[in-house]
Amino acid sequence: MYDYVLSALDGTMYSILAFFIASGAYRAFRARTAEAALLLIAGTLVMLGNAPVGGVIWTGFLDINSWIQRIPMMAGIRGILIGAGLGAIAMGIRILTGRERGYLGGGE
Amino acid sequence: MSLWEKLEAIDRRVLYALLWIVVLPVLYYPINLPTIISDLTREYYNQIEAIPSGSVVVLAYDLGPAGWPELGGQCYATMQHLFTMINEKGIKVVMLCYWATGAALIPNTFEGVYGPMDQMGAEYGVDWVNLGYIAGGEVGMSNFAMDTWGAKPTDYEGTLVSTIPLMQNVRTIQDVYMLISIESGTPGFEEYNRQWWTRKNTLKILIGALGVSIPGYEPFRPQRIQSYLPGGKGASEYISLVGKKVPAILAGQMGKKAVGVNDALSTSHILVIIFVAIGNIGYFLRPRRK
Repeated sequence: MYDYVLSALDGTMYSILAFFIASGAYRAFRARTAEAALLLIAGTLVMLGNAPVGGVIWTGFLDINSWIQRIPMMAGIRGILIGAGLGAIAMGIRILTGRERGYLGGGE
Repeated sequence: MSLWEKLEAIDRRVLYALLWIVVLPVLYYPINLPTIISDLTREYYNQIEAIPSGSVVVLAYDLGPAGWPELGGQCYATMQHLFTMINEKGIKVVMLCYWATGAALIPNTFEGVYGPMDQMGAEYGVDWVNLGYIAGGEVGMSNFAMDTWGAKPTDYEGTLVSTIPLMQNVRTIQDVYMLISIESGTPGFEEYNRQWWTRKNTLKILIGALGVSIPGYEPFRPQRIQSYLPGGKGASEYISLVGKKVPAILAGQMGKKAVGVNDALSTSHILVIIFVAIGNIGYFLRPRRK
């Protein structure tokens, strides 16, 4: 059951992502605005850096990919993590002090 | 509809079909496109090579069959690498998982689905042990960190952990030198970070990561995560590195599969980039309505 049913179904579910991502990238990556153009350029460079053949075409793609992941992307992720952490603390304080009662359910 | 408008709105079925065409043949008949070993993969390899003699390493399979196509190569090469380190330096390896679906993948790796793996004379119970699935997710990790025997009283085959020679010296997280977690979600690194690293802040951590998970690990490197293998690309790079020590891994089914995955990643990425370019050319050159 595990090897021939679960593994096959799970693998299929995950691999379908490749088709959706390809189709999504084709439709979404349009340079309609300056911000979208920036995203398009960054996305293309990261794709070239992540594709094994990218580094063979030009080793600079690997360095650019690494820089994008180490500097701007990490700054964004850190911002999200810090924001989520502060939000959790604030929510905890609100619940502990009785200001947040939504988790109890019920109406007015 | 003009040509440019057609280029901007190619039917998704055409894209799906082309993706099949560029991926499927190279998976079955790899063309050995060249690859360059990334710094991350090299660091992952070097960290394992630098494990001190006699140290205890935990190899965690926190994944399921869904992640196997991308992470299987990492699992296979990491386990083979650890067996060579058992042979060379006498390290001890404890295999476990906090994902129920990972338990069957551990024996699948060394028992013959892609092997049988060369265990290089390593003796079960003395050099390595497979504890199997530990229930409880993050709570289970916390229990294991404080009391390994209590968290998992028996190994995968049902043998009492207290009777296994290797486990006599593995009682808490303080006895573990390195964690290698090949993972595809939760519980995973974040939980290990909270429950294991905070209890032992000298714990070395290596991660086998899905390509889409990489952004989540980068903020923790290199202070908490020494390195990680980035997806299928990392797997094929790492297999080629381990293959220098164990040539059989390259000749085996998993080695060939990794080369195929490598080729498929290259061809599929190039196809997507070409289509993104076509879509943008169509967008900019199509006639605008006034």
